[in-house]
Amino acid sequence: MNKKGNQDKHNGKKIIALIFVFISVFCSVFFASRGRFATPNADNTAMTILSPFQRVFAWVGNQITFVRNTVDEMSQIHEQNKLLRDEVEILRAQNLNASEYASENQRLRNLLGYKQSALQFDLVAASVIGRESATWSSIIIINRGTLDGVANNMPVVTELGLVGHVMESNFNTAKVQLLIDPRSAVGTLVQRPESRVAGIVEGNNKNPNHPRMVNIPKDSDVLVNDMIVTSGFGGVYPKGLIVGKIVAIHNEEGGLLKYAEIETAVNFQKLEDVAVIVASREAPPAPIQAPPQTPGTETNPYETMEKLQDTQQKIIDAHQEVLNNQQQQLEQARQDAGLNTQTPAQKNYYDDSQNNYTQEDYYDDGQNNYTQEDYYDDSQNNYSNENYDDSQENY
Amino acid sequence: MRVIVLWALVIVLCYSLQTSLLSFINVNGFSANLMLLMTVSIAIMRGHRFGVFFGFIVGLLQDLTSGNFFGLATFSYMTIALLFGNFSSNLFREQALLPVISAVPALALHYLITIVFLFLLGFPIDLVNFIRNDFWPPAIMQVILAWPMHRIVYLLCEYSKENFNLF
Repeated sequence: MNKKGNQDKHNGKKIIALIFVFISVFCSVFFASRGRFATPNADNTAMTILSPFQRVFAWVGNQITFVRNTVDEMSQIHEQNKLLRDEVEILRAQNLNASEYASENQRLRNLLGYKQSALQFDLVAASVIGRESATWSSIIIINRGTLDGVANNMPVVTELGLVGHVMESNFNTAKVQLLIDPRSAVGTLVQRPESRVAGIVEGNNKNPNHPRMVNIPKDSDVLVNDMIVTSGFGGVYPKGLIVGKIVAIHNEEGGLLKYAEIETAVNFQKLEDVAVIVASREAPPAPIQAPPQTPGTETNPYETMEKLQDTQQKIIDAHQEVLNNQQQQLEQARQDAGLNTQTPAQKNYYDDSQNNYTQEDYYDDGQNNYTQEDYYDDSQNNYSNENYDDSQENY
Repeated sequence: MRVIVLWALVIVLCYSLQTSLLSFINVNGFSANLMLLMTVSIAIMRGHRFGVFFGFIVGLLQDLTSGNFFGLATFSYMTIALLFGNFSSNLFREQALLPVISAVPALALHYLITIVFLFLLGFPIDLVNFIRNDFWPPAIMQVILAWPMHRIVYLLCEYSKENFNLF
């Protein structure tokens, strides 16, 4: 019992000590915050003890931070590299697209230019969407069909020249047999005016890129580099479409005929956009051009016309003035002679002379009544009093 | 004497670690508090008396070296040790999970005491912002570090008990 009492007493002292410590610490916080309590020696001691350890750990921390920053940078560089690679891929794809669009734009511009220049044709632009896989045939598939007005046997061209004709048209696609297909035959002639030799261009199995122009008489005027155009015979191809040019001429085995190898104007390996001639008509007459003028003396025909009209008007005005003067002199002479009567001729004459003549009136009068010379003769005759009666009778 | 040096060495190392290395891992300046974890572990394992004593020592060390309000950490650690030491008297004290569970409440209490003191001293605190943004990162760090710290303290206590018949 006594022991328990001692223990309780001991515990009580501990609790009191604890409370004392708590209160002391509590108060020290406020005192310290007000600057009334400071422990510089204890601070120095604690820092002296701690600083080596802190320095070591700080160094370790710095190293870890350095490593972490390095890893961060590396990961950022890796991430950046990845992003840049992605960006490069995207830009490359965009560049490729842009190049593709530029190429397509150029092709379509060329095709549009041809469409605007070939006014005699109604053209339907089409893109090549497929090729026959068979090597022995040369057929392409285009993205236009009967819904677009495309029908069988319609010619297909590019701005460079003839491509072929529609072999089979479906709703929205059509098969085009190329010029170089062995089954193809196109009526052609030599474009050179001195030659105009006709022949048939057909596909060449041995050399698909160089179709042959056959049925050329041996003694005909056909030369290498002659341009070959469609003849219009047969009704499928309109006249004047460029087929290609002759690169070689060979004799047929029979000896009576010869054939020419033709380099086609169209590159069939790079065929992407074509135009189908859905309707053709005669080419419109060329606009009237002014005849060529001698260099150094060129004149504007419109200015010349205006000058000519001005000059004619001046002549008419001058003539009118002369007439007026004559009338005045005649009046003066009549008054001097004391004559008041007027013959019908004189009356007509005065009426006419008083009118303001225009160029047309002048010429009309001249045609219907009297010429300019007659008029002058009359006026001279009337001017003479002696011949007055004669002139009256003559009139 | 040797055990005291050993304890002192561990405390100094942990505190140095807390103030140097762990401070690199901080969110808005808040990082893990190893002293608090040690105090809680000691209090749970060895009761409130030794806990308060330990809290007094490490708090004093912190107050002396941190340049903060002197006595604030001391008072906070002592209070926490007193509370957790008393609450854990009826529990199985060597459970490893107990310090882990206690880590967040202990930290909350530590901040509460600090905030109350700061409030009493006239320093305005944005409590809502603190709870919403600043409290949880160190709380998570405390939970992560609670078990390793508890193991260190546990081994140290066992070593002291076996070799020097301490505790």
